[in-house]
Amino acid sequence: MTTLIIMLVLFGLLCISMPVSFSMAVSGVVGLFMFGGVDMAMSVLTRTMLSAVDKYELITIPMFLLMAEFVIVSGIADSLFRAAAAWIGRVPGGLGMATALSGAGFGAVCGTSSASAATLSSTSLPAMIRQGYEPSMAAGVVAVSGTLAMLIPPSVAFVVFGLLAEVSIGKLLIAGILPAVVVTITIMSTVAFLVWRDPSRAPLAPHVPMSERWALTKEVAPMVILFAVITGLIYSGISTPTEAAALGALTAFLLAAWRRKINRKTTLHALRRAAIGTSMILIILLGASMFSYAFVLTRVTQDLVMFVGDLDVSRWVIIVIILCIYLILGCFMDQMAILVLTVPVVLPVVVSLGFDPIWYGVLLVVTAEVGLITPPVGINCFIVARYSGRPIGEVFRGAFPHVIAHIIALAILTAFPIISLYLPSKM
Amino acid sequence: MKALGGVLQRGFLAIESASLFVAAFAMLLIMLVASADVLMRYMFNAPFTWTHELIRLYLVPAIVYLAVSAAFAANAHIAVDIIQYYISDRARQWTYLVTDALGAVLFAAIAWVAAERAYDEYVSGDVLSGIILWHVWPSSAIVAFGSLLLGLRAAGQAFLRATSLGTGVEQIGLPPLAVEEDFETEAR
Repeated sequence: MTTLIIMLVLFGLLCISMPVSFSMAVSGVVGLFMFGGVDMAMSVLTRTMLSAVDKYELITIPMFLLMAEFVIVSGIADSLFRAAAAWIGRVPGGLGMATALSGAGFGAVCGTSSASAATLSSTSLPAMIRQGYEPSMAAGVVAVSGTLAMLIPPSVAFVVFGLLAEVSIGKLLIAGILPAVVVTITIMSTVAFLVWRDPSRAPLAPHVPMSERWALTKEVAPMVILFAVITGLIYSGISTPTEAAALGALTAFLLAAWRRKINRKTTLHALRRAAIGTSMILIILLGASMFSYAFVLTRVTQDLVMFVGDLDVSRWVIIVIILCIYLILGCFMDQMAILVLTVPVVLPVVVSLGFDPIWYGVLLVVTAEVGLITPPVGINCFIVARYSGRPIGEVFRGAFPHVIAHIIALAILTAFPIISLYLPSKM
Repeated sequence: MKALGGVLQRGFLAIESASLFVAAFAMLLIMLVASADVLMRYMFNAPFTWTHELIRLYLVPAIVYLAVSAAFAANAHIAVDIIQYYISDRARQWTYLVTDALGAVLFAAIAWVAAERAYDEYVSGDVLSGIILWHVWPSSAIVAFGSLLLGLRAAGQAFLRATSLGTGVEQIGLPPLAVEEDFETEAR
């Protein structure tokens, strides 16, 4: 009965649009009150208000957010698309493919998909439309390419998953690299397929002389250095993700300063935005912590694990069902909300079935990517629609072939866990 | 009455702006201190002995709690707002009245327990032992201040929403829907 009331309070509050963090905290407090009265509720409140946020490892989140802010301030990201387009613009669908590559490149220095989609919308989308690309196709490839930031280190989604699942954040970040290659190739292949079906959708870009190609490539070299600093340090074990994140933020700051983009106003703006983003994410972890206290007392997770363990079906059927549920949830809910609401309950089930939590984390992030481009709340499509001035329906239509392709990529990553687990196994 | 809404809003924004400035400064300090610590460790084999405690005890709580009200004011906290697309403005005002009121109660409770704890820690002189003796009461005080600010902001908004619904005159606008908000945030 208590479990039912906790869940009803939680879903009721979520339904009336209370912030996810507040909803989880309130329903957790209600549950604790029902179990042990005011004393228990206040005691947990006292314990969690600081313990949920006073871990040193948490600074990975603000530092990754700050790094992305300084990269945006530096303006380096704007050159990414031009460099990629110079090299492969003459291939059929080349500008679309260059968009996917710049999405991957930007994702390598930015941990959030919405920032990536916004940047790509202002650089690659106008270039494709000027070149005569079919608008819906151009908008679709921009929306989907923005999602790559979630999968490529530094990824804030992986950090949050690692904190919730108590899995090595360093291994998770590295685990995203090969799946990101698979997803990038999937996006490029989808563009190639669409252009092969109808070449008029994507006219060839003009020829760019070799000297100009190298000049453009040199412009984006600092981003490669930044990516190498972060990923190299984590993979080699020279530094922890926390240390790498701090150095990454400092390097991005120095890059922006080197390009003379740092002043009091831009620095303060970046710091404020990163502070607000950090507060938002860590308050979610605080709410999740309070909710977990109450939820553990209900023993629902243990019962669920036992129930699933007793089922007479293949564990692969269960994981496919779980992924399908995630795909459906992604259509209606924010990705961070899905993570905090489901990981504490679903992860024990997945682990009890003998699956690797790192692999599960990768699959979760790929399903989250799909959620960013599916109606009705696919946020990347909304961002692209607003930037490009195109109708939202057109953007969703353009993204649809990529949804199908993403699901195929998800199937590949599900069937071959080695893709996600190979690099972490070498750490 | 409308003037009261404006005064409340301006007052909260001024305090939140100052509080957010401190949170932003804490962010800058984390970047500099953590990076310097890594460089000292690997280049001179002489890491700072105080980095973890400084960041964990004071700087991270400062970012989280001193920016939390500004994040609430900017509608940055993630919510499942799909229902908001399909209901009338009046119904939306009702839903936000309930969420603001509950948020006020939640954060008032957190502010209360944090203030009590800060007082106890201050009186008993609690410290985290190590090479440096770190006083722990400032952490709880930061939580108390940030939570109180958010509690008051949420209570103020709930009051203005109730007044709007009661008088039929809008005292406080509805928050933009998530997609609009995200767009505006990114576009800045």
